[in-house]
Amino acid sequence: MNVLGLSCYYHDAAAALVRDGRVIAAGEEERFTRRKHDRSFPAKAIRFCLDFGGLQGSDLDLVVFYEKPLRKLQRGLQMAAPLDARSRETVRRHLRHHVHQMATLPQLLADTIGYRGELHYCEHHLSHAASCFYASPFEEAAILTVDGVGEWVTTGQFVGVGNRIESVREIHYPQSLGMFYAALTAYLGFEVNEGEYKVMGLASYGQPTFAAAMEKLIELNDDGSFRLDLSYFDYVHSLERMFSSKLVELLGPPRLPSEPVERRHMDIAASAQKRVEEALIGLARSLRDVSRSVNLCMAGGVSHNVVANSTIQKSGVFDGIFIQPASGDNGGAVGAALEGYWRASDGSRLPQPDYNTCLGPAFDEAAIVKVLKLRRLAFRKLGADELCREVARMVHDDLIVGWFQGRMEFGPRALGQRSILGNACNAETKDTLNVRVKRREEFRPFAPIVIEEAAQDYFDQPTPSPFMLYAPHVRPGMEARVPAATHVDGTSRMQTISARHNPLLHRLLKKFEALSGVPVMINTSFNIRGEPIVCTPADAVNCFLRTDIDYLAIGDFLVEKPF
Amino acid sequence: MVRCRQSECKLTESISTSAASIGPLHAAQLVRKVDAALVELHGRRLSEFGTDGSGLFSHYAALVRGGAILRIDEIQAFKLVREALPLYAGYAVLRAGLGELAFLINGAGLPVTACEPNAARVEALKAGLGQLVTSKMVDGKIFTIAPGFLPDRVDVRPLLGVATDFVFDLPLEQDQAFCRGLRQFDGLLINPRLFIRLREQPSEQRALTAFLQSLGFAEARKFPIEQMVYFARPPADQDQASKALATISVDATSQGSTMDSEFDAMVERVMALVPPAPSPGTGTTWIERRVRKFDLRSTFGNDE
Repeated sequence: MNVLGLSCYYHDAAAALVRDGRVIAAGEEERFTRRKHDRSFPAKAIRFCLDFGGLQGSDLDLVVFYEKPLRKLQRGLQMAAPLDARSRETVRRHLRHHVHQMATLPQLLADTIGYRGELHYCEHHLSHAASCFYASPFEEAAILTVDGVGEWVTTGQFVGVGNRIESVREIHYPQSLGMFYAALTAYLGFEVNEGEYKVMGLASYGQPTFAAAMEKLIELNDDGSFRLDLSYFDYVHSLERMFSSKLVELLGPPRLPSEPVERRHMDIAASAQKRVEEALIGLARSLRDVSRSVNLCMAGGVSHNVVANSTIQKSGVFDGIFIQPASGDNGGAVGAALEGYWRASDGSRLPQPDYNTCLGPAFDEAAIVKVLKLRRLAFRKLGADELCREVARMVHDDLIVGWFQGRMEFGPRALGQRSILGNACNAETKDTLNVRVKRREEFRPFAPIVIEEAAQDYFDQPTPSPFMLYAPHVRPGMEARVPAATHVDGTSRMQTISARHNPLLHRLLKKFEALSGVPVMINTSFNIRGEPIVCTPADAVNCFLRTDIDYLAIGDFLVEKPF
Repeated sequence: MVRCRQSECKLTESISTSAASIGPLHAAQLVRKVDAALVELHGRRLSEFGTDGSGLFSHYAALVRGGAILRIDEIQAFKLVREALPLYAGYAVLRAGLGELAFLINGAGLPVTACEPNAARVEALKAGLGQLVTSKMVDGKIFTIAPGFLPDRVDVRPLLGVATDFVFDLPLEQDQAFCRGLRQFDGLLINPRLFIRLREQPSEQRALTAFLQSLGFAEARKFPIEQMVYFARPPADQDQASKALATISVDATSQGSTMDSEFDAMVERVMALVPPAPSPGTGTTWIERRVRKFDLRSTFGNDE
């Protein structure tokens, strides 16, 4: 049975193909169209999924959309009521969006891929829940989903057993941890749905001196629920501004994007981060109580908060945790397809201990050589061992290397397939990467990769972290050995690499260890600020040529800079 | 409307009672514990205040002396609420008596309003609530006492009314306030033989069905063994809502294309076809859901 899942029309449009209960292909539309956070109908991502599965649209058994459009419209209209001059435009926008979506989605499926079968609709948070539980190594688990908002739900607690998910309870809009964090992101002068990572990174530089103010913004209840004081926020009624003048009275003037980041901004970020972590711990504890499970699965945009994830893990509330690496709306496509599959299937589900995110396209030697020749680049073909030895030497010599291997990752993180590699042992690597390639804010940390078997020597991370979803502390004494990988607060957004799951990258790290004594490298996504991660060899070459990346390792080929 | 006193509520802070966490064994334990606690409490009150002064009157006085207040029909109704019916955001037990059924539902983690028109019995109900809150069997934060036939105000939707014995022999069908109150409910679980008046004849029970239909309810499911019938409002016609939306062109949503008044009327027409969103109770922001079967075919959802 082949089930296609779709998410689109809000942000991060994506498609995913599930066959026999497993995700076999998935892609974000932005990677194909090269428009960051592209939200349009994911025609190119769908085409990739079908091609990968060897299918025509008419071969699909079912297509599942990741939301309930009518329920979402209900929220849009009810929150805007009563209708007046101010809210009427909001209502018009909601209605226009809905009518357009409902009218065009089936037609687009018919026109683009010839699919005229059933179109199902999976609730937004059920899509998130399915995306993490069905991909998890657990037979049964408690499931926590937290984001800005789906249709109504902003926070969901579920229980998953076998091939079924049941909802337990939920918190509805406008009570939303995601909207709280988004409002503070906007207040601190960053772009909503993009700058939340920056707030999290900034938080490490500050102290939670605004903790009392944050307690006014979010009240935490004993039962794990939370209540925002909505008088500080304006996101319900305003499409332009997420916070009210009352918040400005409480915290002081908001930062404009062009203004420098000051100590006060860092402290506000630290305070907001602390409050969100407290709220998440409360949600996790209450979920443990109601589910009586020792396993936790998490998804939803807030699950990208790696610092909070580590806090939950350290709390010991759950024994095992699985977090969907694509926890945003892109992952909704995966969840919708999985839920659609398991609702239509009588089969029994096996836990997935080896879920991986390499679900995108791969390119063979001919496709790579074609691009390299077209761009008249000098390149050498090497065996895997030699390629790793060469790249390890280059990184050890503080060169920056683009690393393009195998199937593209699905999700916001480059996890070793579309990466830029640097020397973790050199404190200047961070500045070098920023100046020469990434051009991003200097307060944002760079993440390391480490061989799984040595991870505990360097980082206080109790479990493997193959998807870069935790921020453990660097072990005392190790900061000096991996200074470029250590954030200002002593934490590190590390990723573990196992020989089983990524033998080539593991081999590269071993070669690097032989030279440096440290099996750790800096790994950042293969893109320039403001652009999606590269997808094709042509994208990789473009990025390579437009930046000061020194070498490009693409497939078996090592490419030199022509100038 | 009487709410649990603050001092009582504080005692419940450490309670974690969730519907989803209570399995059959726990439900049986809850029944035993609630019953034993009420028998013990009302036994003392009976000695102290007498049959009428205690609010027990002859019916409950006999049950207390017999050592069991909870009747089989109440336990069966509790099981239907827990296991057979869709989850509602709130529950109202009609003619709650000493609150025994309301306490069970609340003990399963669900928000309850206990409606009781007899003032003396309301006092007995309050005493029971205080006792069970103290012994952490119920959560006072989500328990409300409403003196009267029905709740005077509904804070939480959707709301299920539950009545095992609601016989008054009063012409309530003709009482506009009572009918308006019944319309507040989204579902009713009742014994049709014992609703408003004793209805032994099938014709009398059919009349009740017709009466409830006139208030917008439809007979959704019969439980012959328990002698209960579940009435629910037909799911708001989502197909109709979708069809209504399908008639709206994208152009019609653009500013200037329609008069504001026309646009507002169009929005109201659509919204009238969409069921109301559930709302949380006071204090907590949780909305209990307990959906086991998700409806993927609908753009809105008829989940169970």
